[in-house]
Amino acid sequence: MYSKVYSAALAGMDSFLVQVETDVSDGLPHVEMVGALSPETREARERVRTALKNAGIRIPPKRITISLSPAGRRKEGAGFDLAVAAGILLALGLAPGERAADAVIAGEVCLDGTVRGIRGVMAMACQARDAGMRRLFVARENAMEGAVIEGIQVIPVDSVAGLLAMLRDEALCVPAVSPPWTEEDLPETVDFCQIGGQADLKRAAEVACAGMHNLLMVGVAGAGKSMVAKRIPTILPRLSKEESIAVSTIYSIGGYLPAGGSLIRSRPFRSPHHTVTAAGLAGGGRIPRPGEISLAHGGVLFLDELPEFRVEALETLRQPMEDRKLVLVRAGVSYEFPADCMVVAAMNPCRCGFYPDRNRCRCTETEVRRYLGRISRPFLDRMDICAEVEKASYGELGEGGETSAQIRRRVERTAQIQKERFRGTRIRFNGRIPASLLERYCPLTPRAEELLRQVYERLVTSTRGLHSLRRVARTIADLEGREIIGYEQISEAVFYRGPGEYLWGGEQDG
Amino acid sequence: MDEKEREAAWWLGEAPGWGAVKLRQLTGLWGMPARVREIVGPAGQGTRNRRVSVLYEELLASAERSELKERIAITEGDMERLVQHGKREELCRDRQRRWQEAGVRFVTVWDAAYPRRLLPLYDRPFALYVRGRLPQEDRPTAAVIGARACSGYGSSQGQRFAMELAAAGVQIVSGLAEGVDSEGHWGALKTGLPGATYAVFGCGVDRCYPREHEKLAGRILENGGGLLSEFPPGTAPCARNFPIRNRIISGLSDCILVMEARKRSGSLITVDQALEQGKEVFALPGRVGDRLSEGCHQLIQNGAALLTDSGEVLEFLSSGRFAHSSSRASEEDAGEASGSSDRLMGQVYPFLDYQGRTVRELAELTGLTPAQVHAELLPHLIGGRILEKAKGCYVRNPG
Repeated sequence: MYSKVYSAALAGMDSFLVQVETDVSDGLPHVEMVGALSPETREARERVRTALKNAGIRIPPKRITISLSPAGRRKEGAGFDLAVAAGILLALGLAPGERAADAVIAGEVCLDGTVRGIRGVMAMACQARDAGMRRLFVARENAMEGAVIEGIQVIPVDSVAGLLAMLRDEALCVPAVSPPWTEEDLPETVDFCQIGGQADLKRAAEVACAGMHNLLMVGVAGAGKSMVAKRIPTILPRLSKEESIAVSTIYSIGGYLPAGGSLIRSRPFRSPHHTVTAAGLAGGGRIPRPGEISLAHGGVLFLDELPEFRVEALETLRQPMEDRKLVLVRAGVSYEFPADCMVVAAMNPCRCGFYPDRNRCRCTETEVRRYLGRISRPFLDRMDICAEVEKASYGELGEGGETSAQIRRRVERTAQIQKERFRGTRIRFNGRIPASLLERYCPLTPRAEELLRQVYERLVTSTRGLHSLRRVARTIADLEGREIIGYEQISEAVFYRGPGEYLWGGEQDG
Repeated sequence: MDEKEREAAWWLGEAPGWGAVKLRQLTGLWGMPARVREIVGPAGQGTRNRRVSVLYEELLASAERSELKERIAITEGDMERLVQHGKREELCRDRQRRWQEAGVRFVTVWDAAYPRRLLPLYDRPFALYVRGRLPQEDRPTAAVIGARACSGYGSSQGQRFAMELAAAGVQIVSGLAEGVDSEGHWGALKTGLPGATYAVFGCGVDRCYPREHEKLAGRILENGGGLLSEFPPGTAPCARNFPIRNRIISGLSDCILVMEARKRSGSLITVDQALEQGKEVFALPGRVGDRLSEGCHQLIQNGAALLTDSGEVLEFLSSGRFAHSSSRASEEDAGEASGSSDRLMGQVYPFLDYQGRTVRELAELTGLTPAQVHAELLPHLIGGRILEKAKGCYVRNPG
């Protein structure tokens, strides 16, 4: 006897439907699984057979052949267990096949018959809906995640026996319902008002957040760089539902969504340790899973102690920082991951952290050069805003200043201006204006134009630097509610650019 | 300026005890020299003392009306001397005619020929007495200064640098003194290029101090250079006048080359004045333990550029990073009271050094906000006069 059910597999950020065919025929008792399977996928035989036995279902001593197609695409993970179980049940004629005909079944099966969650359910739900499926059977812990996707019923399954009952009885198929979307503020434990002094740095952070510009903080050790970085998500504009789904999908694929959780509502803040590898940042694996830069999509990727990062890891970031997406090629297949995040980096000015305070810094200029030289000029060019951090004076330490909520109000007002400006395009923030559209979106007053020309001739080394300067000036103007960028905005933006050539560049002859 | 003005100006320039600042203030308040002459009135009346105090009070009143920002340097004694000086009007007119016939040019601050580089100085000379030519405005200019009692090293290097720079078209300015000064002039003359060097005198241009350098002075004139002084012809060399003339040496130059200088020497005073004027300083290194190089070493330690190769100086001069006083002030501006070097370089630049100042330090020193400091720094950054040493930390460009 023969049955056909559907499951889904992951390939990078995408999912594709897998047809699970089961045939039960006479012959030596044996379960055979084919279809480009990884070892853990093939182990479904043992798990499913034992689980069915423990659920009180006897498998007759027959030859069972299970084929997962398309056979040409590699399948990984234990997510096909539940579909294999369903396929066997249907092939044995224990349940009618019609309810499985327009459903996707995905989940891992334990030996006692319970169903465990898998990663990537959101992507599978989307794929299933787009393929015209009506239902998705998943483990209970994945149900809320899948229920976010509209247009498909997501039905939580507790055990193999439960699935059998549902296939037999329509009334048992109760779809999960996700809680309604709200934009309420989440309670935060960190707030900008906890930072004393650092007015300039706070301003730089505000500008960076308002236009989603990358931010580099340079300053003495222990002055509060990490403190500021951790608070940046509290002033970024709140996530919209679409953004939230995009972010949650990445976390779902990566398997980082908490069990039973649904949408991620706060902007991600990823802070990989500086020992991270290139694969850790970009995404690794034979079928790659999202790396840190994709997990930071829509939020902040914080690189503390920037010069301590491996050079190849930082260089990996260059392309996604430009394209806002990441294309990985593994075994001849390319996988695309979203990677549109705000990169926030912090570094000391030298190894001891006190340069240029010559009374305290004992580093030679060569050492300082070598330290800074670990970061390449092209990487620096991509840091739109570079802010210095100075130790706050004792008197300033007590002063709290503005709360995150106050700053966020200004940032969101600016985000609104940008939303209207870029209506009908795929651009969302000033930091993402393509170079070809700068003239259109960043008009300058004649004085500002003249200043920009001088700055380009004398101070900025690359065209990329010039473009980023103009984008930052656009955001500053937006914060002030100006349509045309003036001299003052360009002037402020100039001082946000990276440190000059004096020490940077690694050569001895500065 | 008409003849009447010129006569009055010459008369004013000869007024005893009236230096550059006082004359600038007086003409700023009362106007052109002829008008001043008119206000001071004829001399020799019996009620002289009363007239002096009335005049002085009038001066103070006009200072108040014009809301002069600086302290009035003029005293009642000065006013009395000026009134007294009125008697010498006839005499001055005579001298003026005689000296002009002898080839001394009289260039006041209102003349177009007045060196533009001097105009922004707080204590710019009221007038210059010139034999030969004045330095050309559009050519780069360097001062070569140093000890009078220099060593062979100082003199040879002084001559070498002057020659190399002059050969590249740089005008060499110095003070015609013994030692390094004269070596600088000789070095420039060796190139044979016209207008290679200029000497600023601490006495009248009619005499030569020291006398041994008469031949040198003659060669400078033959070469198409010039001798100039702010002291009227006939002024005898006098010790306190020499530091005063040093500010003109630095003022006329785009950068200063110090060959050899002892600690606490006159050369270092010139360097201080040069720094106040925002000029670049190059110091020639010597050996440790050499007294004559101690001053230079001190300068280098304080951030002066180390002078080893004339190419460095030429690079600095050609990069246009020095403060070109590019705009010729109008006649009204020239009569105006303010116009210090600070105005040219802004409020922040004078606080910058070669070691590095952070924006925050600069904000504290100047009383400006960080944003204002940025705004002040930007033109200097674009002009290459300053560098960002580390993020947010700025130094003067050592060239």
